[in-house]
Amino acid sequence: MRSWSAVLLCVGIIVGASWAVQASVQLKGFWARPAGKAIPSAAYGVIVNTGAKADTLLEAASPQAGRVELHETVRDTTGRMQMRKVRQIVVPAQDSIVLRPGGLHIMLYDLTQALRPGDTVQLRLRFAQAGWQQVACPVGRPPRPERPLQKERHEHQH
Amino acid sequence: MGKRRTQAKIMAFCACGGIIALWLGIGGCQPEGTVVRGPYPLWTQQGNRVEFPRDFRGRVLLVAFFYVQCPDICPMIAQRMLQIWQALPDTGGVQALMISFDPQRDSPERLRDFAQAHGLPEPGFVLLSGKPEVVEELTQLFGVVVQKTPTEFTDGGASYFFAHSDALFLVDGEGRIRRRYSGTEAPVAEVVRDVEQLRSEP
Repeated sequence: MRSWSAVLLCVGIIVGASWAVQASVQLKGFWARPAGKAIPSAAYGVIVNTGAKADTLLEAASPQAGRVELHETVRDTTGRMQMRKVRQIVVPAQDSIVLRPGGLHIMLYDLTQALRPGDTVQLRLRFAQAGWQQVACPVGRPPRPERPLQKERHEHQH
Repeated sequence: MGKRRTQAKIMAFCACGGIIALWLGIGGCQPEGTVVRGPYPLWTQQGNRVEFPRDFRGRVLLVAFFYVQCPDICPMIAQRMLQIWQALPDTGGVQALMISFDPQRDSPERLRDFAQAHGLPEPGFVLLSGKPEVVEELTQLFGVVVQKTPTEFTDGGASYFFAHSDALFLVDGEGRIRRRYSGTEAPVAEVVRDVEQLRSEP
């Protein structure tokens, strides 16, 4: 009986510890673009993975938008800008992924109401390891002048 | 020997031809120096009809092409134009124009919605659209590439996006396209300097 308790305790510790390791995604500096009711908005921010294992952003949702999708803006060889859907975004262990204008971003369609500076968008992101994580995105202008498009280090699948 | 020399000559000739063709091809995409005549009938975000560029003659124009449904790049272009606008020491005689290449959807109301969402001041910023053939002619004149893209998005293809050039233009008071910059990365100080220079032209 005592040995069973010890085993259960060990299992509990291992599960608890691994859960603690897994829930190690932090969402920092999130903001969303102002938009009219019929105009899509986009959310940006930094996903930090402090854990020892890579995690993957699988989907996003918001009570203020009918549809939320992961997208990336890409510049083709002729300089044309194009958007494409991204199936998932891998955040490597001890690393971060930047969602930024002109790069990876979260699209918010079919807004329930117009988003004006000062409003807040509640965004939920589902990660393979960390599960659903919530972040409040203040609606406004970019925190600083929008930077030129630079190649971010990121891995994702289309 | 003679045959080989002839071959070499032909190859050199072809190479030169290719380089010239390439140069012409690239040169052909550069709209600088083109005079926009028109007039092109367009509507504004207020629902007013204007003739472009006739109704803006005598003013230095910052011109960009966009569409309201664009969530990422066009707002970046709008923000960059706003930064330039705010950096101008004097906006007298200067006009910022954003012309939509999505006239089917971009009614005056939607143009107004975009201007309001992105804080574009009136009357400095005028948002425009027009009949599809008019807008198409304008984009071609400015060398702006616009391609409707079938989307893989989840609404069954009811909505569409555009792959499009990322460009900002400086047009002088005579309607002549003077410079083309990147829209999202236009160097603010340089554009301000160019605008000032055009304003001081007789």
